[in-house]
Amino acid sequence: MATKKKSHGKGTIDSYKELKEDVKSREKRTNVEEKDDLDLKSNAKSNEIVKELVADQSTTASTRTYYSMLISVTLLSLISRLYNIDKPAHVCWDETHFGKMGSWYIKREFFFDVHPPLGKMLIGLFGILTGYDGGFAFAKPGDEYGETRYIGMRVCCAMMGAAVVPLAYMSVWLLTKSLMSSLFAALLILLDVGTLTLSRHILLDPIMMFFIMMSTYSQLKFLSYRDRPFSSQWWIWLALTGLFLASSIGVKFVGLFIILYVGILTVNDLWKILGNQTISLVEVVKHFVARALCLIILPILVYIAIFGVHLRILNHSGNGDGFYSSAFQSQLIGNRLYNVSMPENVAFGSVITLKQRRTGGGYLHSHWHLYPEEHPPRQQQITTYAHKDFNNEWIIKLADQEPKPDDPVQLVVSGDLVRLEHRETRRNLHSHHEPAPLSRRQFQVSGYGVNGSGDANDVWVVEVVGSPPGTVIQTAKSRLRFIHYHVRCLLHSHDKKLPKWGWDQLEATCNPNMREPKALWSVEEITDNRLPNASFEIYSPSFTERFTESHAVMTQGNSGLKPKEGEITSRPWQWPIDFRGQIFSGNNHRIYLLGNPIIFWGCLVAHVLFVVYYLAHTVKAKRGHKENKAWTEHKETIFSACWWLLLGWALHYLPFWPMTRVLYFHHYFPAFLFSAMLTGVILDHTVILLITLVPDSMGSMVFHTVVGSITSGLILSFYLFSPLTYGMDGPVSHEEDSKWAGLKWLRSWDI
Amino acid sequence: MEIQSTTPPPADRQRERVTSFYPQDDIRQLMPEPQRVEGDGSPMPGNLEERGRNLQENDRILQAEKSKPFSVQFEVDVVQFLLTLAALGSRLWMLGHPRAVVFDELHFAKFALLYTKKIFFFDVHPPLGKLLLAVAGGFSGLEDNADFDHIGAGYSPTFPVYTMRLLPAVLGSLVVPLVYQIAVELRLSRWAALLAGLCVIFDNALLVQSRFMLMEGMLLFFMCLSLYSYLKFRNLAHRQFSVQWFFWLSLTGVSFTCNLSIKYVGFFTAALIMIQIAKDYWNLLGDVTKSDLCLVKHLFVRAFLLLTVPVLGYVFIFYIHLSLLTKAGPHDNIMTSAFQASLEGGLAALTKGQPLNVAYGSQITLRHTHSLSPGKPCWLHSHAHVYPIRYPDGRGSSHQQQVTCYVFKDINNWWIVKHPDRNLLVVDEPPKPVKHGDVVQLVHGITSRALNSHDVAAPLTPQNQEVTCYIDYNISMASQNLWKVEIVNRKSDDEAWQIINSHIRLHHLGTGQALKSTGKQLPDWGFFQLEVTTDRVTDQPATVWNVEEHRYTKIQDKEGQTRDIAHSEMIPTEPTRLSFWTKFLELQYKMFMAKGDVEMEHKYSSEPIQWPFLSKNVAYWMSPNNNQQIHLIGNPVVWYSAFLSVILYVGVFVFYLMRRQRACYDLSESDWSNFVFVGEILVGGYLLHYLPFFLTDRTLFLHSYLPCVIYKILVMAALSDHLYSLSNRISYIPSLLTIFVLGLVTCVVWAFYRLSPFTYGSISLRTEEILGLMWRDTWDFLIHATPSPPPQ
Repeated sequence: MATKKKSHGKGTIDSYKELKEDVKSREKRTNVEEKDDLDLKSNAKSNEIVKELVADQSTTASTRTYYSMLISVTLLSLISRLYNIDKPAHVCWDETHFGKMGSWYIKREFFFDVHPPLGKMLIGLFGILTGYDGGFAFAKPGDEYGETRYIGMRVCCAMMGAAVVPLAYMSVWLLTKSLMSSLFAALLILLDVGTLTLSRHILLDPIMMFFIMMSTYSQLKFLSYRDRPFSSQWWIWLALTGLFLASSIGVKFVGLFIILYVGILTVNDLWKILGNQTISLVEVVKHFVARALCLIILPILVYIAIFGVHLRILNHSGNGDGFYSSAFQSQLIGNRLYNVSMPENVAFGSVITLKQRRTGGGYLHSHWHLYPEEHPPRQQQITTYAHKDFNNEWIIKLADQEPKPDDPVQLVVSGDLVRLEHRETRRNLHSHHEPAPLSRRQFQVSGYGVNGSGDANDVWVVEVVGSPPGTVIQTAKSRLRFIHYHVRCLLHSHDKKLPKWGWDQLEATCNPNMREPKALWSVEEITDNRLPNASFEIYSPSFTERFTESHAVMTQGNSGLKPKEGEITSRPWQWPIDFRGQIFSGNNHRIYLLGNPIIFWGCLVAHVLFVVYYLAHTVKAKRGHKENKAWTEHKETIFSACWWLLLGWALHYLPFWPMTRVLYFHHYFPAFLFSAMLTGVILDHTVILLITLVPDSMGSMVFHTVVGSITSGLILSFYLFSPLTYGMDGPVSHEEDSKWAGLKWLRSWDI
Repeated sequence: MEIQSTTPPPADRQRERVTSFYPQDDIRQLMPEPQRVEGDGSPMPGNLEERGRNLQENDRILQAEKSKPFSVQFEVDVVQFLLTLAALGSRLWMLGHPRAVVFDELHFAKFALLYTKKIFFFDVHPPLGKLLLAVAGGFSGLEDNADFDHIGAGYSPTFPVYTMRLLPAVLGSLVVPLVYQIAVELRLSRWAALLAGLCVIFDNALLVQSRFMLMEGMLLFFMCLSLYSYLKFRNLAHRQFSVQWFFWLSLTGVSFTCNLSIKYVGFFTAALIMIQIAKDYWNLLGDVTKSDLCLVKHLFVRAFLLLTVPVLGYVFIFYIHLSLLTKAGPHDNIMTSAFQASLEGGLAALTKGQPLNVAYGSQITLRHTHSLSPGKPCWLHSHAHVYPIRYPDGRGSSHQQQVTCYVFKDINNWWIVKHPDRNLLVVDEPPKPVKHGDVVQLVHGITSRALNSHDVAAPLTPQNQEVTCYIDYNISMASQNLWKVEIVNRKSDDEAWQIINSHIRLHHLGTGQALKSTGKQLPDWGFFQLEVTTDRVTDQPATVWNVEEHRYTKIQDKEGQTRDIAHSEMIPTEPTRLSFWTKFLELQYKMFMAKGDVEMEHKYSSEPIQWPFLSKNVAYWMSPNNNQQIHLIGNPVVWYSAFLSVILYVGVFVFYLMRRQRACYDLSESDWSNFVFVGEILVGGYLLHYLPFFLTDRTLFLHSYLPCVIYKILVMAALSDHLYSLSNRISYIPSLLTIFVLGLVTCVVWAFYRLSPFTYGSISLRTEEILGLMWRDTWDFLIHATPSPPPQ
């Protein structure tokens, strides 16, 4: 590896020297010129020379060296990612989720997850391609794989993770046209053990990082064709950008940040085009429309298509059914609502289940448990519950009389006074002026009475919203409100989970706010043999409905990922300083996700350096300090590249700050990619600065020393920390005889 | 974007392209040079001569003025004067009505009362507003024992309702002339300024909010004052380092400090001003006629007056706050033991006279220092019940005695510190203090079992270890009951363990893990107490404990023991002294960490997205007898038209920007840069005060939007002024515009008049009238004493 670097080094050092010499001579010249009252002619001439030189530098260096370096980083990346990929032979960390979900795709069982489906579909696809049959349970981290063919999935993920390195190399090249920057950037990502660890497992992260880098690269590539608008390459790269953007957000919603990033780049580009007086307004509109087509319309279509595939594949009932509405469930083979026929209307005496009509709303539920003493009175608990259960069944009765078997069938209509009797415990749905256990401003709902006989507080008015009184209630269709007759409050439930005594079910309350829009219910299942059955097919939802519902459920799931009280979660400030890692595998073959501290801290320094360089440069410029033109142009290229990379980093990092959901260290890695690229550019710039500072004779020596020491430092740190990802054994680092004690640089690391 | 107002020399224009994406792009060079703008705070290198000429002329005029040595010049802006009068009139009319607690007066009046009684309280907002209220109350003899527990409760006859409401009302009225002046300083016409002033007067929400003992009246006053003084300062840029220049700059700093010391939202105004100051300074840098030294001087003055002074002022306000509140009060539990003990009464009374150092043989209670949810402290606790053999999820326990964290004081919270090598539980003579790094055993006082931990998963947090009081079942499980004491806040390594002040961490000797309270509630078998575990991650706030109550174990010889205790070091009879900084930092930490009632749901709470559309009102007060009621509801005409103006202003800005990019310059450079500056201040201020609310988790109410209302009203004035100046290019349009604005003002007044019963709460409306005023069906006014409607 080191030798390769040197051979390349020689390639660039000459151009460095030339650039530097040129800079110096020009500086001298400009000084003289200033004294001589600025000779404009020669200045223009010198500018041309510099331009030629810079062009020279890029063309000669690019062809051969560029490709040889590209190939070597790609190879190295592949080797590092695939080395010992079969170890550990047990489930690591979130492989338990994503492996499981991949298996469900193979088995076509419906499930619910907070992320969009593309990543998991790909994992499933990798599994199928490499002969995995979806049979492994992925029950919990640490489970041995045994005979399972898991390696294929890991390899595919690792390949995508490996592609990130050459992509970074090419992207930085497009931004700066400097081999040194590109190489540094690629090295930083290549040698970071955190990125390496993430890439080597069955996770969404390698897929995510791949799509993010792919979008960035294709956008930059597209921009590099700006002098040949509407050429075929121009179109291809533009369309590819859109495609990869859709893929990014199809894996995880953080893909939104890369969309924002590309969006900002595009707006900036369009703004430039608008300002170019040589382009007519019609042309400008054409530019705009082309981008709107490829970056807005196309991604939306692709994204919808991903969901189309997702919903088409998962057509069997699975464990995610309960999160979705009855209509949605009726589409799943094996679900109780699939191809079912039920009475269309509700009559007094029918056994029904009530589901709250909102995303994630559960079934009205009760069970043989009382409210605890802290929440008097000690009557039977009423909750809502997301899963199907016989305890969700209620008998609907007239408010003032018991049903007799020989009564004529009387349909329930809007405005009727009813009682709801819990079928299992035979207690009535009841409410009173007592605060609910969690929402103290609302009233407690309880189960009351014995064998169906209670008191006046069991009476509810049932109303069909949006229909006049007297409307017959329809199963699944009607939107119902249950108004407590005496207290005047609405039967309601929301996202608050009851503590342990309520079995983590959701609190049900009676809400005195009569305007509450979410206090709506619908009858989901009904059993009544006196009534004629009707097929449920009429309610089957269209694709659009299923698509929107999936999103509503996902949004709800995402916002529900709140840290519990007392739980320590990773906070964004900890990430760039590599404060604490994540344990991937705790057994014998221990793996710990931790960024290479040298690289992480180096990146931080680079960020600061950039700000310093930039401030120094702009303040000088603002104060009227004049510099050589070639040098200024070089700096402007560097700084504009840095600004874009910094923006990428900020967009992928800062939005996590105000987030209240549970966060993990691995959320930082997309931002890290941008940070590493920025660091590459800044390292290169620092080297150039150093060379221009030292006398000519030492230039080559300084160059070799600096580049050599940076590279070897990086490699050394990688060597040092690589056990974190390739597996450690023996005692943990805080025990005395551990061989890993030397790696515990921070007290917070649990190596 | 080049929104530069100076004229940099041509060479500089290229260097400013650093952020441009294409190095080769030379388009910008085609653009004309921006022109110099009068009075934007920047120097005018190109026009120095002309300026000199102007100055000479001015001098001549000044000379002429000076030739009248005994005259006093006096100028009154009649419009402004009348506006002020009208504002005062509208704010002070019927100020004493209702004589009952209106909405958040419940808190603020109570806090003011606590100031006069010197009782410590805790609030998430900084203290200045409440201090000012207390001062206002103090002057009017607020020493009442009034006790109000709900909104609508009547004040006692001696309670100075009128005077306490006077301060917010007067400050709230002064917002009107300030808004007028801000418009003038922004170079809007006096007519536009008048429009802004009128809208502020006739906005029902601003009016209601400044009429009661609430924070917003004061908040808005200081907000406008800081904005006004900043603009004054900026317009004085040509007279740098003059007395006025210094005065307005200092006033800017002082007023935004006051602003953010009332509520932290004030920070956004401060940020807005800081950004503008930084921008102005950046332009100053481009002035090559200024020496570097001069620039450094500028920087220093700004940094001192806008950073150092505000920080000092902010701390000083807390200093007053903490030195006033010296007695223990209802919110003590939120604070640490040390903080509590530094207050008179409360914990201090309990711990007074306790021996200072924990020794072998001490009986102690251990409090979890940083309670995980504010106001819910807990103490290390054990009782004669064991962990269940199996948990519902199938895991097993050690079946030993439970150790929990209990939120009440209890006899079972007492522990005895024991030397591992000795069986004796009594204190030596003299007491041998426990030091940092010592190893101890903790024996539970009632059950005499030792605190123990071992490699069994904790009940609710399986990744942690279980903590028990050891029972010897005579199976292979040995006791592991040695704990190493680490004093977290030690100054030296051989410090002795003190009660209250020492924050300690107990490291389990066998496993190196630290004793922790997870804050999770155990189920019924644990009596719903909080779980205690040991955690591998030792360095976290949840592992910090401190001794609260303390006594040495009694021995038979009572007399000797009394003598001992008499000889040992005693806590002085005065309360523990904590330095101001310790208290300040703790209070700040708690204020920022307090989650508030995240769970709280309120009928009248609202989401930020609803605010501009005024879709919800807030009921403030309702008479118990009739339909008199007070609501916080904005003047819909003002709110909608102002919100529309914000959108239009941005639209017009984007339009101009695109035209400029195509090299069409519709405005003169000075008009353009003033347009941009006004936009930055007003639209920027609006967004800065609005958008951050989308990120908060708290229950929000409409009144958080009021700063934005001021900004958007100003945007409306600016927009109409701009349109008017444009319309001069076409005949008839100006008069049409004038008529339109007059019509708008009429509508504003009409809407104000219609809604005023809910503002002053003076008229009992009939049910139909109230229903008629529900202009939007999401509004919720109250209707009194209607018979309950028959079931539908």
